[in-house]
Amino acid sequence: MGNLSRCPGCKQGFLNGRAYSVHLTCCKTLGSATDSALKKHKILAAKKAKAKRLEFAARKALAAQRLPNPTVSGSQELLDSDDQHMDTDINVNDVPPAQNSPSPPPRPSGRPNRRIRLPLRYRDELPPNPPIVSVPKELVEYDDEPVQSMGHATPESIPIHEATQFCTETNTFGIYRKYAFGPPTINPDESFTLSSVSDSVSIAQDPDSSKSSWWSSFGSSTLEPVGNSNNFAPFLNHSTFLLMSWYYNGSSTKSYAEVDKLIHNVIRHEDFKASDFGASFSTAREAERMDKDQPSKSSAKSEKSHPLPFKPEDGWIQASVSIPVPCDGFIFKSEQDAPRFVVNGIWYRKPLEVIKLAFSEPAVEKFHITPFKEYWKPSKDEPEERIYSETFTGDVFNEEYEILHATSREGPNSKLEAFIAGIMFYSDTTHLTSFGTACLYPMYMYVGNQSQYTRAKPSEFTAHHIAYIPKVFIHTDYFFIF
Amino acid sequence: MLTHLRRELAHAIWQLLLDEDLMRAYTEGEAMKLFDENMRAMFPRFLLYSADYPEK
Repeated sequence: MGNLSRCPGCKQGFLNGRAYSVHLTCCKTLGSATDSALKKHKILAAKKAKAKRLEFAARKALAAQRLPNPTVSGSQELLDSDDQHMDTDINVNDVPPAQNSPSPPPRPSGRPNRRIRLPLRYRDELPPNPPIVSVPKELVEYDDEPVQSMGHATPESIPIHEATQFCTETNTFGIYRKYAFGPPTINPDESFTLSSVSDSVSIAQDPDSSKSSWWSSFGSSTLEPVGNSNNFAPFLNHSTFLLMSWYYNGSSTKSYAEVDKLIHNVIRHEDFKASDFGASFSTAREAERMDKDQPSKSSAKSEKSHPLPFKPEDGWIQASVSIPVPCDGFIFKSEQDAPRFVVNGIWYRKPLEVIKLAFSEPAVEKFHITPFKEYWKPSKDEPEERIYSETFTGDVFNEEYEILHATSREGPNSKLEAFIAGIMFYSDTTHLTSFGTACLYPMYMYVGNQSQYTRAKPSEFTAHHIAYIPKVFIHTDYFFIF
Repeated sequence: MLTHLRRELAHAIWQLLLDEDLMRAYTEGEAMKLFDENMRAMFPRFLLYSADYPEK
């Protein structure tokens, strides 16, 4: 977000990627600059071609004067035409593919050259910008009001627009959106850039600030570094840690490379101090210290019943539920009378808290909180076609939103603008080992307001862990749960 | 019996998850601030629930 994109033509700076790309298409200074560059290129190419033609004619004349040798002049022609091909190739590469390439220089014979274009299957259409949501002026002023009053301590509610359908402009693919209840108050596509939909190597990528880290699905407090004051525990000081880590990592036999590592990574390290090693330093004792540390940590995990990353500050709650158990040979009047088995140690998070957490992450800038329907009109005479792509363009989301608008709301939040958080639960047994039966039964939550292209990427870590269901195993006479 | 117990357990955990807070938010909405600092009422809605049979 902090990056200022500057137009190469008129040098105007843009904070918003969307605004920048829109500006690029209509900047006059840039357009005229490109045109003049193209013209210059054309003139140069023509000059070059002319010079070549003259040279060729002169050489031909010379050859005709001497002995007419068709093979030489033929191969020369071949060579020349190869040159021309290369020239046109360069031309094609230099000129942006969106523009029509300038007419290639004619052949030496004077006939026009072929226009070289990529075959259709190699042409890669880039995704277009999403349709522009241009809010009418009177509504813009309306929208600015809450922003101005941001300084006040009391948060202002957003005035709810009258229920009129709002239709956006069409984008380059002829796609437009229809919002059922006026323009959206937040348009996440303002932060749209080409790199958010394309990862081609030839496109400059924006640094993605809204990317969440893998631990965020467990909660936010794990963001804090684990170590307290002593980052190199269990070792006594940094020097010892450096030395021991050199000893345990890399190759076990001594080589030149290993000694180089010792010198550069340990002895020359800025935190390395020879004074850290007392006269009584012993490698065996340091190794023992490390060995002792491992089991003590894992036993603390199981005893303290706060295994990472289930931290209470992230909302992880340990609870127990009781389930009625059928008893062989006994008949009970109702289920309530049946003996109940208490299952302990169920880790879960309150879904509401998790949803709130999900909507406070930086990625929320790209969440669509207003559902809409997307349409495509092939031409003026043809009927519009509905496009189904995202959860927030689907029928269910739209219907639910309409129901929410239609019903009169009660309670303290009835004055606020309502939006739907589409939550999706997902659960599947996860095998933890290749051999054996160790498995987890986790329950995840996804937010449907997020684009599916982000949500489905494992690298975005959009799944929020909600609960872990224990597994029931049964023996011939008894059952157990863990 | 195993099937029955597994189903009971899964349902018991869902009882735990669908607590009063969530139910209240479902009907009245939950006031929360989005990144543009405006208060909005958030209504959670279950779009889908995809899981394998807990009794299997």
